[in-house]
Amino acid sequence: MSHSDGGVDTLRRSVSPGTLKRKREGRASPSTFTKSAKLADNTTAVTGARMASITSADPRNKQYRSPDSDETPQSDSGDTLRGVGSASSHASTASSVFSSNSHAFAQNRKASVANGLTPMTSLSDSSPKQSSPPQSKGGAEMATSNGSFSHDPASDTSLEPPTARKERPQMMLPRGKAKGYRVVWDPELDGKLSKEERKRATLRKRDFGTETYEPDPPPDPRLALPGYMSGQCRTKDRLSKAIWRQAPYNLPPYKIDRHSIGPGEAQQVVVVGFDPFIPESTLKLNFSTYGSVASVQHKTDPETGSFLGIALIKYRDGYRDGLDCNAVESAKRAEAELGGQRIGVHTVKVEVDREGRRFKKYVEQALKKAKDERAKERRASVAPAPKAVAKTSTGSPAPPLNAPKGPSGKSSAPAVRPPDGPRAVPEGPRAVPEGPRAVPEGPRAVPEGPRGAPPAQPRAAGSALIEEDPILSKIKRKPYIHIPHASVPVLHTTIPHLKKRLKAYDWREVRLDKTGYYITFEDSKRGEDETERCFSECNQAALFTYKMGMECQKYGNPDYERSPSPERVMAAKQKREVYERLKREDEEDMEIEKKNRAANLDPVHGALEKLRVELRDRIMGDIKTRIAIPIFHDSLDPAKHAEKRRKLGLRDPSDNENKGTALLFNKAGDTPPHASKSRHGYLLSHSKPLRPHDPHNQRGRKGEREVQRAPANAFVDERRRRPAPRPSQHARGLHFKLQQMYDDEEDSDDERRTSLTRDTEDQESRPLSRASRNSTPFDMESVTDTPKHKRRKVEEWDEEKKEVFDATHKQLLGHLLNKDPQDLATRELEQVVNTLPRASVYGERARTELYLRQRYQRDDDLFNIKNEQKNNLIADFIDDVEMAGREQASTPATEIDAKAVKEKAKRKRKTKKQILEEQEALKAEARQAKAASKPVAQETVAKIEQKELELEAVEELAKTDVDWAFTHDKPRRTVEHDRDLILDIDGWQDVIKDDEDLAWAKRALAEEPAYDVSDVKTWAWKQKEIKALNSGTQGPVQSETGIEGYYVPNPTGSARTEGVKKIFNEEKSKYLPHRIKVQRAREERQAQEKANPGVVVEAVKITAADKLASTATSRSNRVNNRRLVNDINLQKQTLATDADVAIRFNQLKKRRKLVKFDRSAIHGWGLYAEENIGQNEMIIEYVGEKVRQKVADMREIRYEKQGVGSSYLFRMLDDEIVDATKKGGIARFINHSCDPNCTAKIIKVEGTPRIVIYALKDIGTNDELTYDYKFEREYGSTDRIPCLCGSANCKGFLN
Amino acid sequence: MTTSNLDPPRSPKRKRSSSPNGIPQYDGADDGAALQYGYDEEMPSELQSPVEDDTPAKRQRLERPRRLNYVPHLTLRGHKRGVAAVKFSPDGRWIASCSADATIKIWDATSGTLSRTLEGHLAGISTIAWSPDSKVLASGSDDKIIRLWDISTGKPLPNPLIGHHNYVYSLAFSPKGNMIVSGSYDEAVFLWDVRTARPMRSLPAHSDPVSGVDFVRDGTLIASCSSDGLIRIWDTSTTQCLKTLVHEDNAAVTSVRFSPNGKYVLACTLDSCLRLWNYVDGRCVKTYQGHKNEKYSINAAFGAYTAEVGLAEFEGEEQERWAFVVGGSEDGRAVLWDVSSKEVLQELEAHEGVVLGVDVAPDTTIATCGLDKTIRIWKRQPLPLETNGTHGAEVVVPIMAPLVDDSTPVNGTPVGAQDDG
Repeated sequence: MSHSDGGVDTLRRSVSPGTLKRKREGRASPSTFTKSAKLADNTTAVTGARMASITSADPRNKQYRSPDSDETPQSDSGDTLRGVGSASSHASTASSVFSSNSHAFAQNRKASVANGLTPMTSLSDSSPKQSSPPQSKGGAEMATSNGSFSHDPASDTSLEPPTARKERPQMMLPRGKAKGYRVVWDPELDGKLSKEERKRATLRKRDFGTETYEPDPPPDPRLALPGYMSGQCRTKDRLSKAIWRQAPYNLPPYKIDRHSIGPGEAQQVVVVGFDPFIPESTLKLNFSTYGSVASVQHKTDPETGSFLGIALIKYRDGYRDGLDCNAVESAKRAEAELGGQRIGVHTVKVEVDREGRRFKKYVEQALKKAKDERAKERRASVAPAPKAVAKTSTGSPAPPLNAPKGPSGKSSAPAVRPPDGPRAVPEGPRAVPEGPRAVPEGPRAVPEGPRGAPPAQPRAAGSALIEEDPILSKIKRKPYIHIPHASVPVLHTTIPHLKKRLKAYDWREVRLDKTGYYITFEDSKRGEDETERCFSECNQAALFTYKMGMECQKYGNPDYERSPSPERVMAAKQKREVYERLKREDEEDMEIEKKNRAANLDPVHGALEKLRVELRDRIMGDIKTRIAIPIFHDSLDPAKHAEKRRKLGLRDPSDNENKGTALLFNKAGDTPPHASKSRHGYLLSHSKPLRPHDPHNQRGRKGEREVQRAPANAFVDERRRRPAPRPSQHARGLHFKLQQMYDDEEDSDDERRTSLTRDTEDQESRPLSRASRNSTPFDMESVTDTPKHKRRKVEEWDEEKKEVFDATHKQLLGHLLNKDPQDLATRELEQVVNTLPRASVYGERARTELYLRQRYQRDDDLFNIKNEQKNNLIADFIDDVEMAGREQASTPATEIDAKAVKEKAKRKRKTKKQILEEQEALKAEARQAKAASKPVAQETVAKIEQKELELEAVEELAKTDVDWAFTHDKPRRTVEHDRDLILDIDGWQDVIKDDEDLAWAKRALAEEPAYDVSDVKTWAWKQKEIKALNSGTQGPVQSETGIEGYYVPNPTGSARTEGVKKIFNEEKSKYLPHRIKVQRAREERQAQEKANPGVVVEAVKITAADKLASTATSRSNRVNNRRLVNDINLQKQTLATDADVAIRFNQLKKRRKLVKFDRSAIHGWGLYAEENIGQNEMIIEYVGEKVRQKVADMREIRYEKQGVGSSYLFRMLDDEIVDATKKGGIARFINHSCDPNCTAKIIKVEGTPRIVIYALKDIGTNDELTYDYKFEREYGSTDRIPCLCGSANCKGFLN
Repeated sequence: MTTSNLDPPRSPKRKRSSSPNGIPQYDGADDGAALQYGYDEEMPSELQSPVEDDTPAKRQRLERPRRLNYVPHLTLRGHKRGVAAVKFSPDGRWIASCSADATIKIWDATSGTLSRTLEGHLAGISTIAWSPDSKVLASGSDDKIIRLWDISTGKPLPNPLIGHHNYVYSLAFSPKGNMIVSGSYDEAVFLWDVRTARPMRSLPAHSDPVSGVDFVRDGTLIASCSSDGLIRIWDTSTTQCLKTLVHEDNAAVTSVRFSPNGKYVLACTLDSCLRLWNYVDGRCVKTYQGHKNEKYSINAAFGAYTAEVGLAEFEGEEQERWAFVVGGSEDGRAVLWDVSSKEVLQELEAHEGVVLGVDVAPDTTIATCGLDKTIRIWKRQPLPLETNGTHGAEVVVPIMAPLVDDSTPVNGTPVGAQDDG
């Protein structure tokens, strides 16, 4: 029951021919499920399995049958019909739907297979073994157990399951074949027929699927969506980001730029497939069309040395045909254009190869292939080869001269193995007749060539006898005798003769290579002995006309080393390769480095390097000679070691001992006059030859030295201190000489000069006596120096008190007034004294001078004192007040005798009195001045003074207990009055020392009106307080405690009580700080100019130099700016157009100079240069609001109203005015000047007019910048603007 | 009734509402009354309804005394030369005077006795300024030095302010007392830090001696004026020039002073005018005339007056106050103007010669000083009965001055009772 059910069930499904694949799959699982459920029902697994297999096989059979025969089991035909009908309808749709993506389905099917589900294929060619493995197993079991099904393809499938798998049917049947049939008429269903008729009648059916027409699958509606496949599609509802992209994203590889790491892009290409014998140059030529080829690496077989036909071509960055060709580009182009092209007759394959890996791979492949081939070849030749070897080796020791080898031996011994066969073979017939004339025999060898061999063969064989590889390396341990090619020429024809010649010895082989012949012997003791015997007997023996110069090596190749194992060989080779590669790379690097260096070679650097080295050497030399040697010599000084010597009991060194050292140390003193000089001007001590010390040379040298000293040297500064003349001594210590030498070098310039002049005068002949004298002038000079100094001092003093003379006096005295009274003649002095009034300072001085002269005349008469000294004395006397203390020491006091002292003492009293009088006068003056400001009561003042003086007198008594004694040098005052003392309270108190002074003071101030200072002491205290407050000090002071700087007292006392006055500009410029600064600078300049015009010239030069420097910098600035502008323009082009606005570049801004504004002496503010500005250089742009004329007029009125005292309007064009009043740059502060140093130009910058201030002349730092405002002239106008520029050619008004 | 109901454009709020375009309309007399004495900006303005605007003003005008009766209270003598400035201390206790004799004298304000004489300057002193705490006095002298004096000891503080290049001409203490602004003949305005005695900033703006400087009441603004005719308003913190006030005549300005409420600036010019400027708009609001000022740098001061004398003392209630301006004249008078009406309230026959300085104490006492070396203290007295005021029989005006129009300067005939106290 269950069985039949299952069978029916299965049948019904399987019968359906074009079953819906998916459906079937879906249904398949339940069916199997039911099956397995049924199996579970069965008692035994075996039967179950069997049954299952039967059931599965059963429908298959039926299925197979059904298409073939029309007979179907009638029992279930209805079912079938139903199944067919439904299934077909399904199938049509399903197939159409899924045909487009059948691969997806195939996957599904696979999956289902993997799941172990049996796809119930109804297809005719489906085999049972397509089902799940257990089933197929079951099927196989079945097949083996009972042969009833053996005809089935199952048996086949069981044999070869993989092939069966492969034959998996296509879902679509092949065309033209009926897929099935359709019943068009069923008699059973026809009600019109009778029962019999029904029986008789057969089904009428029609095949389907044979139609050739294949309905196009309906178009995929999704494809209608625009951009569906490309990923550009956006659904209507999700417009924003939802992009369904079916196409896979292909990310482009990262571009290699300067940020990437690792090796760059490929610069080399690997070429394969060309003719291996093509010359490298051709290859290079081919590839150099795409770029400059750095290297061509054509690989050879390391074993055979033949070319492999694989080349690596490396490109480099280069410059060709006026174009830069990038290596990478070249490689790419080569790959693209040459790949698949032909070189010669072969089509080559070109691939870029970044790191050469591909190349290596190819090479390895090729090598492997070659190796394999060789191995194969060897294998093929192994069979004959051993024979041959055996023959030769096992053959008789005698040379098998006429032992012809079989053709096999010949054929099997091609060029590859030359040493083996041919050695004996071809030579056989030729051996005898051929002599040393081997060369002409060569061609003859062709006809004589061994039978059957191609014509080229004998030649190859002949040449092959001369082995290419050095034999020596192959000989290894075998004892051998070498006959070098020098003694016997290398000819393969010689070999037989040689063999014959050596037949007496038991040799094994005679081989030949370029270096000569090798006769090898047996590798044994016997062989060695044989070798020795052969050598001893045959060495230098004759072979034909040659002499066999032999070389015996009975222990084999002396250089031979046991060959390493192949692995090691490989490793070594690899290592070598790596090493070679590195080496090559290094070389390349080196090459590049060299090139770079050559490109970057800077001569300045080179020169600097040179200089540095030179300097170092120089310094080292200096250190050696100047520091080290003196130290050594100091320590070598015998005098220093006296103690040591004494301790050791050595005697003092004699002169002879110095000789030795003199030999060692060359000294400058020993140099001949014409000794070569170094570039740097001093003598090169090392360049002199050593010579023994000559004590007699001392004298000449000495003479030299002295001459160098004074007479020949006119340019030596006299003030220069000379070393004290050394006592001449016959012999000196070496150290001493050395020291002298370096002393000499110290005042080098003088020395040099003398050494130069020495050529002309023969200094050596100078007498010794002259040298010793030259110390005297020095002393003289040093003595005469002092009066000069004094004179100067007096002059200074004179200058301080310049006097203004009346016109009449000037007329009378004329040039005398310009002279110093000291320089005047006595008569002139008298004239001056008579003309000038007593008050005149000049007259006073003249009088003093006159008096002194008279007096000294008298003194001279008395004492006959020299004039000069008198003068000194006079000078001393005149300025005794100022210089008393200082110059006493220098005055010679000895000559003055007691009488003079007395007289002077008289004078002193007198002068004291005079001074007192003067003081009184001064007091009176001061008092008057004081009284002018505040009428001081004489009595009170006197009272104060008295009081103070009473106190003071006591103090003075205590103070004045100095040691009383006569002064011998000059008159002195008992009380030194400080004339600089300010006569305020403290001053007065200081000046009036005693009652006598007070009395004088009182008398002097008698007429002064009194001033009421209520309490005198308070007043005095207050005054002191005020002074202390303002000057910061107490007690008598030297300088007036007053108001610093410019101060003009107001007549009424204070500024406010004075009222408002108009202050004129010249007054203002006395106190306004900015004007003072300018004024001071100007005055300084003028003073300097007056003092020495040279300085001005110098300054001009300096400024010129500055200017040069500044122009240089400004030029470089400008160049930089231009570059910047170019950059920006470039950027502008690349960027969007609106970036133009963002980076508006103001060229003018960049070129501007450093300026500052400050208060100006001309007007209000001014602009000042903060750096040196050269002529015609741009300084600053005048920036402001650009307005029309009307607006400007309105503004002008407004500004005037607002009290903007300055005009900052600048007319640029007719109707364009730049107003910098409210918005503008500091260029507006530039003032007007009638003698300007700048000018304003209107220039066009990028199409717009701009006002730019240029320097009209060179402008120094802190100079005020000015330009001519060029206001229109308005003569007679009431509203003229006065010009305050202060220049020489000032017009007075701006307009 | 508080002082609130004075004039319409007083408080900022009020001003805004009354003048929609932001510019207060000055129509004659009413505007100036906005100058309140004291710092009463924050007073409620709801009482001032627009309807009431006219009526109270009229009523005030009625109530406001047309004449003031300041009588000489004291005459302080002691200076040996002309007295350049006189200043009441902020606490009203002291009077400081500086003179061309290089001394400063501190007087007791009530008794008039000389308290101290501060000596130390080497030249005449042109200007003095009290610190807000009344303990320190700053003085600027012709010796270019500004000295700070400790009033309690009479000694100068150790560090004078040195830096000017010419006479110090004007001085002002900041309301906090930390800064001093000084103007000098060297055309510079210096801003000094009092503690360090160093100039913090220099305000370079004038091209003539800086004759007057002043701080606004909160210290944020500085006004400076110069003989070049400019008045400049500066921002204290940034020292930027915020405004420049200049009159067409370009007469030299000799003194500048902020109004007590800080909205106006009073400037004396050498064209015999006192001008009240609204410095925000840069407009001259009032011009006071009637005195003579053509040469000297004369100070002016603000004051306030009440309807009756002494009432405030007896009644706790605060009285209505009006502002007046007092300025010296070169003919020896000191003239008092009502701020808003510009009427001359009184002319004080003060000194022989030029009246250089005037100051008003917090209790409205007036001090004047002049070239005659004296200082006079004036106290207000009730008007004598015999001379009728405009309204009350009880108010007697001893000094009759005709009401003056804007245009016509007054040459009143003062009949001052001189008292040599």
